[in-house]
Amino acid sequence: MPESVTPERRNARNVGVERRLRRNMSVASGVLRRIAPLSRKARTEAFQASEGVKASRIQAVVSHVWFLLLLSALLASGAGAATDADTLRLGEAMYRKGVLPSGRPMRASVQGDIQLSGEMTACANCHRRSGLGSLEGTVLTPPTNGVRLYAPLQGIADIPGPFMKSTMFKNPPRPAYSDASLADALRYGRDPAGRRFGETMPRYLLDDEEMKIMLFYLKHLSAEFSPGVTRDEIRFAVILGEDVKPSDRAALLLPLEAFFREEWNDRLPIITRLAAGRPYRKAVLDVWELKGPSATWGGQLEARYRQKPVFAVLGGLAEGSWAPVHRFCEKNLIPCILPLTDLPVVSTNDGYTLYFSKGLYQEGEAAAKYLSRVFALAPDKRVIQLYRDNEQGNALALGFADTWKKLGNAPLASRTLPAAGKTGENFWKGVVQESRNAVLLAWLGPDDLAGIEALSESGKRPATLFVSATMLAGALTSLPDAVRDFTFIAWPTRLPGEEEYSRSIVSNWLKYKKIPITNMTISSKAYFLTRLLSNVLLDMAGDFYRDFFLELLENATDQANSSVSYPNLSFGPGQRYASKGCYVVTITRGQNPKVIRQSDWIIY
Amino acid sequence: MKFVVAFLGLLLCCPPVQAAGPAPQDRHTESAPGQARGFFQTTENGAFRLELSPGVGKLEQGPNSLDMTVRDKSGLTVEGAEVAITPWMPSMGHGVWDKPVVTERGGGNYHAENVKIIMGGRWDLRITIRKGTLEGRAIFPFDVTEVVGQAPQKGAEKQEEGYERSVTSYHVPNVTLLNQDGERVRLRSLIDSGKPVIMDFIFTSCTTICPVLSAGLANLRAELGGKASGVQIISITIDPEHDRPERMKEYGSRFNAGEGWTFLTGSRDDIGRVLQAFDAFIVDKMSHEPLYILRGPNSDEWVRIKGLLGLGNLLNEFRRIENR
Repeated sequence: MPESVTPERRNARNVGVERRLRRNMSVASGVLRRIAPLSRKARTEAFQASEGVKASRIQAVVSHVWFLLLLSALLASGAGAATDADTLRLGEAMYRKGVLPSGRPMRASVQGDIQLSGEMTACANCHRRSGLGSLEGTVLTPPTNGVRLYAPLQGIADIPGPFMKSTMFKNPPRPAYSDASLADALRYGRDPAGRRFGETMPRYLLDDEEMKIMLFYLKHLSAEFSPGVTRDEIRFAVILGEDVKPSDRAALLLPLEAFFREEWNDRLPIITRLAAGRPYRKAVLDVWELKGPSATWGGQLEARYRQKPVFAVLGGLAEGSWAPVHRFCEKNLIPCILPLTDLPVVSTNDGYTLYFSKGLYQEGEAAAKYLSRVFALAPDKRVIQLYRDNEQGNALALGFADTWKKLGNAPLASRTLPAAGKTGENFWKGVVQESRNAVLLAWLGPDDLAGIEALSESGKRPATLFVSATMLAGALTSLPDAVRDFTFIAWPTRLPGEEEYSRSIVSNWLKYKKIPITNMTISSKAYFLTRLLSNVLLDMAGDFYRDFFLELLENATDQANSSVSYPNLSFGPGQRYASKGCYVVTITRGQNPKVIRQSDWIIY
Repeated sequence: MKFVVAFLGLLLCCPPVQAAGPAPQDRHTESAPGQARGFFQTTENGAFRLELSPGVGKLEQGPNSLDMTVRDKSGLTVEGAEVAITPWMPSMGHGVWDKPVVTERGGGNYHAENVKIIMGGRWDLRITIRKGTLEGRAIFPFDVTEVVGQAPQKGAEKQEEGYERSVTSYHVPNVTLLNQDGERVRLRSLIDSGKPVIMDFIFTSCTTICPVLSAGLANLRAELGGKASGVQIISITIDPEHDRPERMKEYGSRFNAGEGWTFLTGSRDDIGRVLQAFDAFIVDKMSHEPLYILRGPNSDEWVRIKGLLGLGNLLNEFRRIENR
């Protein structure tokens, strides 16, 4: 859902905007008048396609629109280049957030007599940011980007997205819209052939100026393909850090390459034939290697991108935080799909990066939820976070602290250790003094935990100790028997043994593709990504718009059992972290400890 | 949605397959479309003999269930064995994510649910039997007929006709869910609070149907004015992993929810039980259909309405149950 804007902020922002708009509207409407006759020409061209709109035709229309954009930019440049951009911004606020240029909420009615206003009226809710429409249950939302509105809808081939969605479209053909008939459609709910829309399409209360802006926006919505697409290719990149071990690199890269080579490119002729000529393209996968310190990654990525732009970034592995890549992708609006990282950027805003999970942050979050919702600590209980001042430590501590605070708990104590260094027995003896009878969150790795048995001294020990499974990195025995009785582990993956079925599926596929198993966790994530891609690329067909690509990913069905790592991966509009849970476990004593689940996967 | 996945799967996996795949070991010559090519198998080490019951020897695209009997070498039935089934498409080198669930029925009989087949073609059911230290494997090959291009039309028509109303009875499951404030709420207590009840199923990141459902209920509450708190509206999420209480609260505030409107989430299992109980279970949230479920304060009958309602119709339907 679009982020809400407070009325104060909206008004403040819009005083200036409105004045600017008045000045700009005259220019904008001039541009609109010039566009109209040309777009009729584009319409005629599209009309001539006898069955469906063929790729070449779409391209013809697209190139016209592109030309129009250039033209309008030229026309506008005389009166200040910001004009069209401003109009588009205002249109975008209407389309995406239901905010009118005046700053007031847009109003509409739906199902005949249900009044909507503001966010609920946003076109993007159903038609989505891309304007390519959507499908939910039995409600089909047709496309509303200019290319499709101002061309006739001849049949199901003109409905973007999954085949099922196209076959649900029941009313073709529809003549092309004109500005007048489109305004009519938005206000009164009828198409250019005079047919009434379903009641689920709101009828909008827009005055003439507002309508002009809306139409201008729709005309420019998904008007040209996103970068990374040429006449016969669609280009992707996988990003790899130089510190990644060769075996891990192979575990990620080989499945992705095998998918594109054998399951996509080699089969393209057949896929295309079966899909009634949908204009699929050959896929190219570039490998972008990152060298040197992460502060220089952004520049390296920009350079690679300028050299050969990609449509999307897939998977990826690098030491440390994913933030530099995240920022690069957000800045250039490049979808970045399922990088393999424990250090993602955790944010609540929709973005272009789709992660497997919130990584270490999610473990901190789960510990906080468990302690406050399941454990129900006494309010005066002291809680101390102990972590190194490095990316891992800070991510865990932040996840815990954010959640702890949100749940209304008393302030925390933190003890931060230098980014690198040694702990040892004396260190832990010191910790005993501070943490007596408290809850101690020791977000540390096996080396730092050496000597932790000092905590178990009777009468002085902390009431509860919490550690992170990712930080332990499998070394469960780095927790000495003496502390296991009061230690909980945040465990963000499946429990041992639960993954067997998924593992067999992935290893069989790898065997079939003759890919050696060098790192099962990584390869299974790569494999999962290829399954998602195979669906999404088919559904996207010839509509190469990044927003649409992301929307198709958001609509992926929930995946239980589909990952060796996670019990469940789920998607949804605006959702950016597919794995939503984290167990809390304890372990038994001995050299081969058993993992005992203490919480549900989701802790509310 | 399932259909889409299956169909797309089919597209990706068609013709070159036969040529590309390793030659399947075909030990059974008789073959009929959709039929298992043999109902009896002995595991490769001879430890177990498996028999699929003939009535369910057919696999179809979609979820299947099947029964089998496990015997040992001497023909005695085997109880307490661990039975694992993996549907596998040998020519494609892939399986399905959905794991079949096997339960023991006694007398050496085992029942499998959720054996999902995502596309037509040759499929193997790979079966592993484990009992103590003995382990045996067997493969049952099947030919599954492709199903293309059916179903979706029906729903679209209904929507144009308006809405479907039926009167029915439900057994409310005894589950405890979480409301928008993170408080635990027994669903039964909430439903039996003595007020008329209107229930719907939503998810907070839903783009099309839920906003209309929720806006309708918000309009109804506005229409009822001061009496709105005398009606118990219950909106239950179908995306419980994502929709934590805090999200439900934020969603409710978009619709001016207040006293009398409760938003519930809970564990995946509990939500599943609720959906099953109200005959609202769906494979995936994106195949969500609009549904209102209403009940009067003293009634045992529920009114079930499928389709999106306008305010006028919603108000009418509410008036009909309000005092019953």
